[in-house]
Amino acid sequence: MPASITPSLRSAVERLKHGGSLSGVCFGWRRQVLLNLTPYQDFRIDRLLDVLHDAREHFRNGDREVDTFWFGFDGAFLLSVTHGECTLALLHTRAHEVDFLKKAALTLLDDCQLLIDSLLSPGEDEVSGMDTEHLMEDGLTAHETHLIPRNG
Amino acid sequence: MTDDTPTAQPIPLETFDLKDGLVSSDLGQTSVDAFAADFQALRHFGEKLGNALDFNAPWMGALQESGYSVAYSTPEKSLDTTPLGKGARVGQRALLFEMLSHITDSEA
Repeated sequence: MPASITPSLRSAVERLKHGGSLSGVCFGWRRQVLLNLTPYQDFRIDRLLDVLHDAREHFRNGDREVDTFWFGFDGAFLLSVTHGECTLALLHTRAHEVDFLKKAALTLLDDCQLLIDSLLSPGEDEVSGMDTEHLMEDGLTAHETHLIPRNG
Repeated sequence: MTDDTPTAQPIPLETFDLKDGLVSSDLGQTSVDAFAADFQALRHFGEKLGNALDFNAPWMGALQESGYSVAYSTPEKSLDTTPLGKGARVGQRALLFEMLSHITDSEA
């Protein structure tokens, strides 16, 4: 799944990275890091996502669905927004941008969750291939292919 | 002529003081206990997140869920054993920056 979803997500997440004072973005599905666009090595971001999940689990044990965490460290803020099974963690430097970033993150996560849902549970047409034109159905042998005309 | 311009209502925050390792407030014990539990959890997970990224302990933390927000701030960045600061909670999804401003204003 990560291999098929990552290219679609990368451009959207990179666009978000150019909004506000972001210095890093990472995107996770369940406990798996799909994109790490932060200045940190993957093992640190793995740990970060694990802790965020643990924190959500902690509150879920008390029947609470916490979807947003925000922490301020020396020189950086960490905002984490979860929607469905997707988590987006943003490192930013200006506190007053947090609410704007949260909205942008939620919009992105909405789209990501739809994408993931469609990958995990494809519709009947997609499974049956009704919407797909097969390239090898016009009598070509294994060693032949179509040429694409230059002015076609 | 009356002024029909809607006035911005401040969010009805419950505020708490953090001093000498104690959470105190004019509110009832239930509110204080609830805030203290969230504060401890935020502090605990904030430190773990800081460790993951090689940061010190966070000087502020906040969480939100459907219809509830809570935040704390220790502007002196002294999250040792006796944090000094303020906290707030509200039964709605408040703007995070507004909450932070509210609990850091007096120290600014």
